[in-house]
Amino acid sequence: MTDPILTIAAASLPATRWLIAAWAMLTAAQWLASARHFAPGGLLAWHDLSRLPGPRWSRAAQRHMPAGLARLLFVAQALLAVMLAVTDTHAVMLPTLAALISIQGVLVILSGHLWVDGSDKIALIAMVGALLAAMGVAAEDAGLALAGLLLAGGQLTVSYFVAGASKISVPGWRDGSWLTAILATSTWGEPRFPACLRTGGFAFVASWSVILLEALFPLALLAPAPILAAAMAAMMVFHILTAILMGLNKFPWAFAAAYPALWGLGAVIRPSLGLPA
Amino acid sequence: MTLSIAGTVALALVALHLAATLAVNFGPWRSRFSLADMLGLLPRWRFFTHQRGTVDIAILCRPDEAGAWTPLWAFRPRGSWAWLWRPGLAADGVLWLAACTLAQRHAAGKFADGDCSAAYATILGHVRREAPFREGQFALVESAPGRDRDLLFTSPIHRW
Repeated sequence: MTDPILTIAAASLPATRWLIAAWAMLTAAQWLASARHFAPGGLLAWHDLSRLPGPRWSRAAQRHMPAGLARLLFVAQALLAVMLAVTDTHAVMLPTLAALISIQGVLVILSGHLWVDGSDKIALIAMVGALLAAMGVAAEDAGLALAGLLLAGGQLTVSYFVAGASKISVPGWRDGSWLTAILATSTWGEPRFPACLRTGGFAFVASWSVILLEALFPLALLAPAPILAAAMAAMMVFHILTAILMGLNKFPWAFAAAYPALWGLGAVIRPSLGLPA
Repeated sequence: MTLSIAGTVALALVALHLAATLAVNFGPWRSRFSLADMLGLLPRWRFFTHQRGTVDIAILCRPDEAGAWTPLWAFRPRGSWAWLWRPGLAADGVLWLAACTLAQRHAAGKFADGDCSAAYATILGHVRREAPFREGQFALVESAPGRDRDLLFTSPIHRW
């Protein structure tokens, strides 16, 4: 393996495997705990969803799939997650990742878009990126490996940039009042969050910290490695805080699964642009 | 680096995907890509930039137009370990998103009697399962601390 891109992609794969496995295990376990919603007459009963407007092929699939398949798919996802965590051979990793991607795709098609949140989307992207990177490493194809790093690391960067830039256009985010309002709801807030932190001054500073951290994140890709590491650490603290304060418990794992690719992407971009390491 | 055909195609597709993602998140044609968003192909990353995140939304129901509203669903309170383990988020998240989507459709004048959107059907199905009477209507309300409850949407009378 002489191409540095292949070395960088190969180095990113072990951590990616572990983090995807953690997300897949957690997601499968949480859905298994509420699998009754997929049973006939349940909230996500596929047969009922087939009566809604949508592509003919997806409605036909919803009509003919047995309700028990959902439970089977979640069990399969959990087992595949264990396999992904314990194996480091390409012969196992490639089909395992492909199977996890397929399961996620089948569940999205059968259960509809209300079922998917942002963490599921970035996890799917991280899995496809890891599959491309692993294929590139296995075939010693640097272009394929770089495509994998670019997909996961690039979408992660785009997601932060879009999240930050779109908040700038919202007056409530600019003055901090929306952050206060979000934390005051019982849906996304945290009653134990000290009331003093909900005051205007804190909310204004916290709001702009989130906006700037997200919107300026792409610049970290061009910065020396220690700055990129600091930006990634800051965003991970943000995800952990949203898990604690808002209950978004899948997001830290799903977003973290794209971090090794982002780190690798930085290591490819800096020397190719002649930037300091 | 020498690029293979597979590598070149993959890089071109990924670059296109990144550009398209930026375009659908900021462009005026966002609604045309709902299927791609549904499949996660062109994800939207505008987290909490809609007002729905700043209020609590609940579903109420009643047996007829003169009856009293009965609370039917609201986001369940989180447990101490919700930062790590939160299976309840799955169903609550689906109903929350359905309620927000329906309220948004109604506010935009896109709701008509006989609405068969996924959001409407999801809420109606939940009301059918949980309501203590055989026919009636449901409503969506929003609330926030220190503010009166606002009625966002009222459905027609349904027999279930």
